[in-house]
Amino acid sequence: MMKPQGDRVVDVGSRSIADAHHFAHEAMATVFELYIVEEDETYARQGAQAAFAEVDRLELEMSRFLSNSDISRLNDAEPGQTVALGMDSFECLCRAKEMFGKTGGAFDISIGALYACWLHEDRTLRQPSPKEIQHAHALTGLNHLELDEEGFCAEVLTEGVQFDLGGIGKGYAAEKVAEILREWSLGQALVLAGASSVLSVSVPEGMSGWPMKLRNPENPNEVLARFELKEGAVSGSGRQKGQHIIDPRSVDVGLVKGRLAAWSVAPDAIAADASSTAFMMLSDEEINEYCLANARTAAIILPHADSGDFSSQTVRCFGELEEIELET
Amino acid sequence: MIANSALGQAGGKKDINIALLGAGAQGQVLMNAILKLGKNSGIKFRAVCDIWEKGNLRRVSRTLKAYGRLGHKGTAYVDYQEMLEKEKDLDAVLVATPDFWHAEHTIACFEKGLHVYCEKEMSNSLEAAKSMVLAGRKAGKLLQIGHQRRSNPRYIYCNDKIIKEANLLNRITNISGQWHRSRAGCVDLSWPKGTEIPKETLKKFGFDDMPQFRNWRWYKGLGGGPIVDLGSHQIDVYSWFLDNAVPSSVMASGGVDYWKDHEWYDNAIAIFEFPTKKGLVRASYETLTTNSSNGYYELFMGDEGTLLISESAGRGELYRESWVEEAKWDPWVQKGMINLEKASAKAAVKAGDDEVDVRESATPALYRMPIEMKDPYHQPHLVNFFESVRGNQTLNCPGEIGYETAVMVLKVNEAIAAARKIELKPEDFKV
Repeated sequence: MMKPQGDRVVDVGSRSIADAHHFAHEAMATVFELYIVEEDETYARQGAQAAFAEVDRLELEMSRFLSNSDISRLNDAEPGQTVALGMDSFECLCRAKEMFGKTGGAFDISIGALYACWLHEDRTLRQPSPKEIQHAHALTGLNHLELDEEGFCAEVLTEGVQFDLGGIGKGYAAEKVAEILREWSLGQALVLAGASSVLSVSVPEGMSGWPMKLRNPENPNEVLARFELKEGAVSGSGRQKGQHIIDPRSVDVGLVKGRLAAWSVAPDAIAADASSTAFMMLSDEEINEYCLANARTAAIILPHADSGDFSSQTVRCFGELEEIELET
Repeated sequence: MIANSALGQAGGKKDINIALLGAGAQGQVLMNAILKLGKNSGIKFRAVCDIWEKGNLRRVSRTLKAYGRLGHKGTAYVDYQEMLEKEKDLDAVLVATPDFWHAEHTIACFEKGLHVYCEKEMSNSLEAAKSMVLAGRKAGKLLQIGHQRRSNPRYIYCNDKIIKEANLLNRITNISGQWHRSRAGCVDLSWPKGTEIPKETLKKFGFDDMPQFRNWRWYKGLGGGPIVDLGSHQIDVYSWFLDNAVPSSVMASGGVDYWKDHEWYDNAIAIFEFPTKKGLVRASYETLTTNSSNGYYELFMGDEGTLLISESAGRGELYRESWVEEAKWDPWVQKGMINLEKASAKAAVKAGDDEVDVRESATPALYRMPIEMKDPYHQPHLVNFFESVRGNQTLNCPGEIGYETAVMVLKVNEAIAAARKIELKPEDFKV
């Protein structure tokens, strides 16, 4: 039976867990990993294979890089044209819209136009004109997307609006992987959709939770927090050196400067993925409100050292997950 | 060949009620492609049949139930005869069962007066494949075989525009192609504990046990191995792009070299000779299950150009041989039929220079086709079938064509087993 030993904890940023079978598979421009506690390794491998096949299937449905995916068909659609979607893309878009609403528009799968406006192709910063910013804003926001639950179809209301499920698709895939593992009675498992999204299917017998640690992205030796993930998911968003994050909520805000990294603990991997992105730009008050309004949700924020945020240069924690232990 | 349009019903957007017979991975792909046609397609699922009640059948009927608000129904059956008996308002059936069931299922549908879309390979036996065509003719119903590239707009464009209209390859002399899969992609499939099909059901439907049911493609008498599963799609394109020419011979090598517990050859390399009006075309094909290098594509080589095409969206290249004047292809660029992406390397003797620059052959110029596959895979081929049922189109891959491809592909396995070149006559391809 698995016991956490020493430093063997899941690391949102790198990882290592002892005694669980480990399987990995490249998909969605990242590596999906599974840790499964099960006596029969062959059976665990077969279940993992079925789970990874599901991820590959979802990638074909949702990738905007494939000309015939659901998302490409939506992006190519004329305003007013109805696009019939597969169940998964439809569900994922519904969740994206829900998270757009819950985060006051901070999590937005239609943010592409703003990035194209603020960044050069090589991702370096450019200085857009006020007119360009305004134009990009006019093409941003999920109010441009109509979802018809009766018909499993979507309609883009404004020409030029583009959608990208990159910020939520991996979380969605992690949830579908968990469904398959449960079908296979392989529920004592942890799903990693890339290094930034982790979902506990359930905690293995004899363990109190999956041990997690969060590191400072600028100084990987510095562990910021430790906690045990029992149920639900944790997701991290961060800013690599030279990387820019744009707040889609208003024309004035533009580039996000105050945060280096944000983590979200949420009941499911979709909410975790979307909210960790939003936590990079929501104010402390907004994050606090979000955590209060959403059950079993917590946030951990690492401000940027040059953010001018003198109130705290250290990690701040929101929400009611008392198990989170900050390393002070 | 029979004129299939004559068999279709009167034109218009008549509702077509369908059932899915065989709800495994491929059946699910077909179902999803149809569901993505949307609420106004007029295509309505009524029922689904699969012997894996706690697996495929449960999954598909659950999806169809969710789509009930669009008028679909997924009444679930384990026994296809019961389904055909009870479902009185069907117009057509999609057959996506293992190859060795195709003939029996297809013929049973024809006997009920239904049109059939049957997945490739048409059958694992040529005799059975022939009986499907004959039964369809007798019933006066349509039979579309699932070689879906025949309806893919990119492939149609390459055949109609690049090869035929512009004749950019000029005389095609050779074809090669491959489908390589990684070892990880070829591991045997399993099943979740507790979902096993009862032994008597497995036996009734021709399977020894669950491993055989899940991995039927590898078993003799059930499937045909990778040359049939993968190669068939591409060898079908070889023939199609050569104006549906059929080969005069096939030689092949292959074996159970890696996956030792399998019955069918886990790798195969075949060479066909296609006599065409322009001359002989020698075509090779290779499929591996241990290494995925270079994936899957078909490569048509003419004496003036090369076309690389793949079903993999976005993979398509066209090269002009460097000795062919750019001016010869320019008009087609001007017309927008092809786009020049990269001009060929400069000539060896530059203008005004009196020395030859000795080096490797010049790289040929690269062109691309300005057409993308924007529909879900398989959807255009299904639409072609439904529109043919409505009398608005003719089938892109009727049973007669499917039979020709089945001959080409099944003869590869025969050539490997016989370890000799097999000569083929045009009448071998006729039903």
